[in-house]
Amino acid sequence: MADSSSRDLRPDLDETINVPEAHAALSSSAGAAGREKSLRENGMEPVTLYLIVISAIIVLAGGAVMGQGGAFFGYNELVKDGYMRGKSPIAEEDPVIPLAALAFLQKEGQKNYSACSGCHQPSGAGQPGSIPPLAGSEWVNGNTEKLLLIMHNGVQGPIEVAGATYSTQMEAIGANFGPKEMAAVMTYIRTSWGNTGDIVTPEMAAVGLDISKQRGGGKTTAEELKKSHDKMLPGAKWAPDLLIDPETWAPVAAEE
Amino acid sequence: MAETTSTADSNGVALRSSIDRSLRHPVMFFFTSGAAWLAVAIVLGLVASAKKHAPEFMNWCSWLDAGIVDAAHMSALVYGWGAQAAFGMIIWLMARLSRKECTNVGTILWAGHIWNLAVLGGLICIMSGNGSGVPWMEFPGGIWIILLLCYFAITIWSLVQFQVRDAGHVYVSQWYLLGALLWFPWVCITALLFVFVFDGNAVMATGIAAWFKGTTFLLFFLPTALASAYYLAPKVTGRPVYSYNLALFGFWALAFLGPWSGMQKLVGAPIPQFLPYAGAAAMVLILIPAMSVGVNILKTVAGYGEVVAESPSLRFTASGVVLFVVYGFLSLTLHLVPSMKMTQFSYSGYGLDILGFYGVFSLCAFGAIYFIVPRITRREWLSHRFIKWHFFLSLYGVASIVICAVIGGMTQGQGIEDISQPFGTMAERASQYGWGVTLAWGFLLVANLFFCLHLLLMWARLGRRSSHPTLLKAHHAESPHGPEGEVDNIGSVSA
Repeated sequence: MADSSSRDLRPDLDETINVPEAHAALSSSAGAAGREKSLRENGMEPVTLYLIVISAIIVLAGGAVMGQGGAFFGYNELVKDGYMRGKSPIAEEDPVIPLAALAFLQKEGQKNYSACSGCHQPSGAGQPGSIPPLAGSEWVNGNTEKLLLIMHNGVQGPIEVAGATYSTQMEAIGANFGPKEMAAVMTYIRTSWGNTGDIVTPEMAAVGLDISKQRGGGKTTAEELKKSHDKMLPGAKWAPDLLIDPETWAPVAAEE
Repeated sequence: MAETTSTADSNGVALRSSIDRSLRHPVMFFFTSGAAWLAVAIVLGLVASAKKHAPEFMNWCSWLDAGIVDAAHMSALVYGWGAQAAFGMIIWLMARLSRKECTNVGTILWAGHIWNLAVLGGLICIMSGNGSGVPWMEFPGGIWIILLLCYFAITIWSLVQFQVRDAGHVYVSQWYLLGALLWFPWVCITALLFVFVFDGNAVMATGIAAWFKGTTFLLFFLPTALASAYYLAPKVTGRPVYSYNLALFGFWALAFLGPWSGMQKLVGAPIPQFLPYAGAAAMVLILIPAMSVGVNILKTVAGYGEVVAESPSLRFTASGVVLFVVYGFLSLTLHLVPSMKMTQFSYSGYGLDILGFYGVFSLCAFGAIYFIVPRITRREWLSHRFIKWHFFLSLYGVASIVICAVIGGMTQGQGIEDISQPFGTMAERASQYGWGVTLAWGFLLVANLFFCLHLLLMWARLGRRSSHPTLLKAHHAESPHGPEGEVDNIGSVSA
């Protein structure tokens, strides 16, 4: 083996190159690339039978999925029959979603309150000196029979509301209200703007409309109302969160 | 026949190391910036997952709203990490297999930097509320043009290398690489045109976007991962690929099925009825290429269990291949007609996406990175413990995400179908599993910390200078320069 000094003196002479050492130097300078193995020709094992069998089963499964796709390339069909979700197993028809009594009556009442808001204002404040307020009014918060008669027949003054006396006449604005509308508007004005009244049910309103019919019409006066109509309309009370059916306006029977 | 190691052909060694040298800057750039984006994507994934069971989490930050952070997470994962890891793998593998040095390093590096800026810009757009809102195509339209141009500038050279290679055998990996290189622009341009340019039906555009998502994975990321697996398994063990026929079968099965997948997301939507069912059937049949590749590669390394366990690259790659088979089974199960109802609007689809993208593609990419980086930096990995931590945490993380998402998604799907129950019950059922997914992203975050740190040390050329690889053995050396890892003495021989 040539020692390093003689190699340095005659660097170009092939005979003196130590081949293994040169290779070692090369492969160490190549780092990891030097030690890696070459890729070989591919093996030629046949595709095994079990793989073909399993593939066939998978193709069957794929075909089953494909078979659900309807007429293949049928551009006219868009959605598979029966893909839309079926009817609820509980309700046969469209389910009616029950609503809480107070919220429902307030919402319905607010619609018809537009008949009142021209004078009494959307805020229920009335107009000082001419139109009495509904907010904080003892006529609104108090007994319901006299309130219904005022709305159904109108009133002629003088009338004392919330400490002030008004002499304006009120027309029979609610003359065409049925029991539902009457109940809803009464509930709305009795529970809005800080008022503390409770719910008036359609059943109560129907009784009130009967009383008004027997009375025979004509504007009411404050004395008449105080004398003979200062009482609550009879009927079962509704709790504010009682669930009612928005179509029939009847309480929904508790299911469980 | 017995001895085919490279010491026999010094020409091959010289060529291989000159190819590695020529590619060291772009490949290292793609891997390191990809790893950084992976860290970002995982943090976003944690937040996105947490939002699903704790909606008020971080809701002081409008940039991290639930929909936004989900989109940002997936975009960073796919285009920040996935695409860049794929670029690194593609250009390196194609150069090695075509035996050509890379002569366009400058262009590739430029395009790589622009790609990163475009992804950053796209993420900012998404997070400021200006994303496109199309899944996997969340970047606004202009960004896509930049990304596509960068894609061509990065990958065209690999096609050129293949074209000018010395005549001869085309290796299995090259089929997959060529497939990935050619399919991606086709899928991407088609989808961009139909979603952003043509004034078509909006439902159909949604279908095309779903097709883009399915095919981008099956026809770009997956082939890249399989190319690396077909390269590394024979390379590290020194055995030939088990069966050429099986490789052909698996490749063409994937090439045939891949383009059909994707639209299964739109079952029941008003598009021609056969489209979603064809997509579902393709996803059922994907088990066939999965089994072919799985059998082929596992048979190649069969009997070399110790090598697989000790080599970082092969351990990751083999796990990725096993998970590909699992992906095939899961895909079959989730796309049968009875289970599609449960999976369409639930976590399950996310579980399958993550299994494919993290379990199959990313694990194979990690395997490739552990193989390639020592070659291009000419330094060995510093710590086998870091690699082990990375491996086990990744595996547990992916497994937890997939198990939680698939099982949770099934119960969630049943909840959605059950009309007699309020909607909240469904969310309650799923939320426990949501916690599991969040925890699993935590695993992956820790795993990636090990990986990122290790890769950055290698990038800073602080790896071991040794001619012995870092193997996952308990006692591989007493010290970094111990008996096994002697110091690389280049130059001292002739000095």
